Amino acid sequence: MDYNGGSIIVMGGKNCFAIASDLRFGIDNFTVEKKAPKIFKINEKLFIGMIGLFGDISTIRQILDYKTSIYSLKKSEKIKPFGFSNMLSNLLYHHRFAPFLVETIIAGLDEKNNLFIESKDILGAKSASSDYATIGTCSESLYGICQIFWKPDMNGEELFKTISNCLILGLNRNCVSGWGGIVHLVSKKGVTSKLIQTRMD
Amino acid sequence: MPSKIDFKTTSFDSGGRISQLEFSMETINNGNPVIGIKTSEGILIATGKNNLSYYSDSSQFLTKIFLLEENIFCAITGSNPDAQALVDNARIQAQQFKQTFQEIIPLKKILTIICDIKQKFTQTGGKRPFGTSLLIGGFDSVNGFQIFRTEPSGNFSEWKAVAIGLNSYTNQTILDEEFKIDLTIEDALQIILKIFYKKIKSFKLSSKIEIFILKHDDKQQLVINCLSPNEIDSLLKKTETLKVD
Repeated sequence: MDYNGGSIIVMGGKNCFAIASDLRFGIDNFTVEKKAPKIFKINEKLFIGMIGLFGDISTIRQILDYKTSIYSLKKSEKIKPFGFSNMLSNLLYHHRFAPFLVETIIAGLDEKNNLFIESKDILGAKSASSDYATIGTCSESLYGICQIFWKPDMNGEELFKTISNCLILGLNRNCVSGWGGIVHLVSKKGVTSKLIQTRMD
Repeated sequence: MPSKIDFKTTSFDSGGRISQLEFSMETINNGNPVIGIKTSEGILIATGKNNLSYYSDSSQFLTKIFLLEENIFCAITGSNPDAQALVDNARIQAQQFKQTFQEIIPLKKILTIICDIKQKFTQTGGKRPFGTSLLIGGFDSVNGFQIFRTEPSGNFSEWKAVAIGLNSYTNQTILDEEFKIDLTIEDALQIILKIFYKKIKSFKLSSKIEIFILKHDDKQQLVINCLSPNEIDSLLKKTETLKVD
């Protein structure tokens, strides 16, 4: 899991959420690219973040594209976070004995604009939360940092400040994640994305 | 061991024809009417809906137009379950193409996939052909707007204006008379009304036909519009006022 590096935080606020990741793509201790985000948009209110082996990340992303396209063509509606999460868990557990080496986080707003945040391990075991979740190389220290700074019912601005601070604090101490960050702020009005400055090493 | 496969369905008779294919055309000529018109602005598809009694709850299953991919649609006539099987298969093939090549499947390619399936059932042992004719259309950056018609034999042809299903011969004659090279979408809608209206004078038009329009919006994005019942009914009022004048 430390081979390619990376970290992701998701934080929930009042009918909105923010998902942030670093931008480093490396091979062991060599940094190859500094603009590789690990967060992908499924539809306007559903985002997935993945950390792990980059080849598996691309493959899972293409398989999910396939399945969500078939779903929306057949049912004439977009897939909902709960259904999407179960689909991903099934996909990951299907490869129980030769797993995809990827940890995933799903963040979305369902049709009533309620928060949906779930993180999964490599076999698809879910752990839902309503406040924050982190995955990646500095996820343990990020959990501690988020616990201090997170407050319930934050609005978009506060959420952005908090998640940026937490990400910068976590990334600066870890050599396999870093090289800048990107934050997506999602509410029922839409998505705003911003880049943040961290230590560039 | 005697073979249980009946080879009559996939063999030629002495006249050089496959009888099952002729019979499948009968199924298609009894199916719902479908008209497709290609203009320089976009594509217009209209299908006739079946009559539903007031105690039937199947109104959501009436649609005869399906999306195969974000820019490719398919209108069906003839045997609905046969067509659904083809549409489901085509959707999966389109997504597999996209997964391998990371680009949207070209129109000709999805068409040949569907027609290869249809042809296989006319040649390999004992299965009957699909009793459907599909109208497949969409937009390609290479070839622009296209409409194709497929037949149970696996044959396909490209058209600017085509009618399949019930009364296809009469409807095609009307299209031959009315079609011009620089039609607009408005003109095409008038042709559709001419074809459908004369049979359903006193009924609400929107319960009898559905209309889909495929065109580019202001930002050059492809937009597929399904006309709402109100819009269809208001089309009728426009023609009536014109006739009065």
